[in-house]
Amino acid sequence: MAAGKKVSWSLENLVDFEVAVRQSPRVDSEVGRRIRDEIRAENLTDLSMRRWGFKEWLRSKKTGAGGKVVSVTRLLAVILLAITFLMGIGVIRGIVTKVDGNSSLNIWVLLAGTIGVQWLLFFGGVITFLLARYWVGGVGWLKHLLSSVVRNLAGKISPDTWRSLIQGKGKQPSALAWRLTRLLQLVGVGFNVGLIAGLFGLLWFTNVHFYWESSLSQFGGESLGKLTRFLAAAWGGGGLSDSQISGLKDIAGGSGGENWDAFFRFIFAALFVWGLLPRLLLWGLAVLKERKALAALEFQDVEHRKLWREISRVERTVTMEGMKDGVVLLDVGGVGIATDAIRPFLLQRLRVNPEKSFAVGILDESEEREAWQAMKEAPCGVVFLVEGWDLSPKQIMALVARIRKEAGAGTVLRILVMGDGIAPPDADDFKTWQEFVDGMRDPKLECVAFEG
Amino acid sequence: MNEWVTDAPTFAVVGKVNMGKSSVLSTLLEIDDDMLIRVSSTPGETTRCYALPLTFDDKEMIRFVDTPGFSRALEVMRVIQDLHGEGTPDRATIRRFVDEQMEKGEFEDEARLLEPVVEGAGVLYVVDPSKPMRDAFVAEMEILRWTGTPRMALLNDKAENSDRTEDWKVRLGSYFNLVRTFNAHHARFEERRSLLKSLLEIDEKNKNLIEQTIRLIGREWHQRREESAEFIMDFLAKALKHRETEKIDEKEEELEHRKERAKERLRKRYYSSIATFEEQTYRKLLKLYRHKLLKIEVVDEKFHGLDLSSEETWQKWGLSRSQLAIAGGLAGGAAGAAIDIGTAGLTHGFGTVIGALTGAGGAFFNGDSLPELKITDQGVTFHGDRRKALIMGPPESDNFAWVLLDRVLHHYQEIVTRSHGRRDVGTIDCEGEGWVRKFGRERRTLIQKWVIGQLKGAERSFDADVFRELVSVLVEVEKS
Repeated sequence: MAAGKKVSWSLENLVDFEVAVRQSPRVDSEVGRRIRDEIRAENLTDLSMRRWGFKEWLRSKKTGAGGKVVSVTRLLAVILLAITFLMGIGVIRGIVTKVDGNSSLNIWVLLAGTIGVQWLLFFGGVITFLLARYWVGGVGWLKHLLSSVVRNLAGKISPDTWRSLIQGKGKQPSALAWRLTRLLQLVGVGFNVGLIAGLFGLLWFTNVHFYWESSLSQFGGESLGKLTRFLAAAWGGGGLSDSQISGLKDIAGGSGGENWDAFFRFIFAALFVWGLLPRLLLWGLAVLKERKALAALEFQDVEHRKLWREISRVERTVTMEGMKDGVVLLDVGGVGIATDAIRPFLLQRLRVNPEKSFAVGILDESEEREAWQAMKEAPCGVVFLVEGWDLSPKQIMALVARIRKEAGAGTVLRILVMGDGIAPPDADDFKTWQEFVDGMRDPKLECVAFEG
Repeated sequence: MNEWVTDAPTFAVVGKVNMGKSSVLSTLLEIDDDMLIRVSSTPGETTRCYALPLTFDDKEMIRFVDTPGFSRALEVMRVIQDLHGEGTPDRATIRRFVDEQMEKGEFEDEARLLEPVVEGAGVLYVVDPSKPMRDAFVAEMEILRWTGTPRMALLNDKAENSDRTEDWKVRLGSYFNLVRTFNAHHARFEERRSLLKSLLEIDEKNKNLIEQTIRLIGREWHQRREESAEFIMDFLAKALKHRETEKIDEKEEELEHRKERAKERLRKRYYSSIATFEEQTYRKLLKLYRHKLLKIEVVDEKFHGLDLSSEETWQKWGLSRSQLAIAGGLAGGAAGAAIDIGTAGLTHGFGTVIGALTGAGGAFFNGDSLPELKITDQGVTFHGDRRKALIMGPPESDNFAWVLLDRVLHHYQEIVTRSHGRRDVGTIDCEGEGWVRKFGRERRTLIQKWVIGQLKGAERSFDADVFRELVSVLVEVEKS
């Protein structure tokens, strides 16, 4: 895939990536080079480069952990859906009571046991979540429980990796946390489908009576009327009328009739709108949020940043070698002139740079070794620094012979003849030096007079 | 075979001696190492041509050739004219001149500097506009014009806005395809990048490679900035969580003078550790930005002497008391609000109010508290040896973090604005103004929340939002 294309990340990819980035963050050199070549050729934003580059890197790192996590969540979804579906049927079956030998359902108990309990749990959950988010770092206890179940079933994912997957990153929500939310909402969907199926089955297969009569004044007909009107307002219905409620009151009342028909329509609509629909909406929201979280992955954790640096490292390599004009300055006889003082002359006239300087005669053994090595490496050879009056032929001949032996026959040697201090040499002195050097007949040896 | 020009776009940097050619290249290529590019005020420092390739991932993207510089341009011009005879000399004549002079050696420097040009390298002609226009310069421009290669003139404005700059621009305009100003001693990253962009205008055939190089340089800088933000966050987190412990025996506990001595030892160790963390951070930043000549002078005494209760410190570094109180209040209020939301409003907003008041009050009153020495009541266990201990750190004052951040930002600016063309050994000192007071409220609150978390010993020192904010801060520091 070319770097310029938009890259989509799935939860499976993300889990694989987080596991791989912590287990084996090594970058294969070939993979790294391929990614670098691609991203350098394209003018992309940092984020799109990162998303594409990591996906490419992940191709060389199959961990299998992502597949397991996704399979476990799917399996759990099926199991939870089945269990909660049966629970829904069970709840309906459980609130049926036998009155005068007839199967009867108390309308108050029915509403409380189906819709009421769910909403109570929902509000309780919201409050717990808000408090828990502050205290336990972003995951409600149910999700926390589900999270550890998924992690244990999915196999070897380290606690650190799992924490990084389940916790949001700054303003970034966690895709895995939304997947778990999705699972939790599926629990609600299963339960409500179970309730509807249970009620439908009950009405289809048995002769069930409805009543609401209660000894408590709060659970009277008026309250029931208000409640049904409130619940029906959600789908624009009018709830049950006073006469319909009166017709439903009697525990001994027979089945059928228009009051019952009105109640059937009401209770199915209420279970759908107040039970199933919110769960479906929340489930849809969780799906959407998970997708959004995956689409907005920024990969800004320390580990991600480290890996990205290794993959995309843009760093210049120093392949330059500098100027090859270095010489070794050899002070013969202790002239004692500072290198800086004659440096401009060496640079401008001889076009060489005194990189290192040594003094003959005062070298200790280690310094001497260093000096021979430097002479061998100096691209432009050696410059002897001598005073015009101080020509000791044997010393110079011995020195030249030693340098030829140590540094090689090809080393260029120059004898820089100085006067008294930083001054040109006396003309006669320089002539003597020139004659001496000419007499040595060494093509790589020359004599130069200092010019102030 | 070409010695200087390769498949990569190649530019010869030419000009009269001592105009700052090497200095321009040092800055452009971020090299402050004399072993690679020698820069000095001695004329003739560059004795021969040498290649300075810019290589990314083993691929040469662009190549500059540093040259010895013209020293006898008028004479050279005449020799070339004589070689050519009537009419205007062309590149072939100059090639002949180069070949001849390489053997003769009379105009060796000029022959050397023209060698890459006749091979086809583009020309970057460097002049110092503070110098008067002389005939020798005109001769140089004329010779370069005869080569027929794409060329750009660079005004290396050492004196900054010299009176002669405009005259130079007019004159150069008639000889060069492009004229740009570039101060080798002050050019920052943007100016360097902009100079590279200018190369696109004189070398269209290598457009792709030059564009790619500019992109790579941009990414490299971006990467450095992000790494810098990580270093700074790491340093702050380390400094804020740092604790020094020293066990004390009964005598030290009871005899005041011995206790004082132990305290002093501990205090010194604490500040020395903070100074070490800071120094390590600067070393990393210097390496990242390829500085060898810039030195750091961080001594623990500077920290030791950092008195948060002195007015001078408050005026210079960190947040002001009111800013600190507001940041503390907002961070505390946010924490309290979570409790209000958690209780579905049952606390009637008391959480927010109490959080804000505690945060603001704490920040205001503890703002001038240095890291405090504590003697533990229960004692601390040292490998089974249960004795009382002196503990120093983490700091009581939230402002300690802001002061540290201010200093790092100040030094960061010194590092990123220091030009590689300079050869004086610079030192990073503590003089200068603070940055954090200029931060907006939202930024202050975000960082303050992170600081509080770190002071409480948060497990993770990295926070993506704070990191992003810090990167934005660094962008501002670089630009100012």
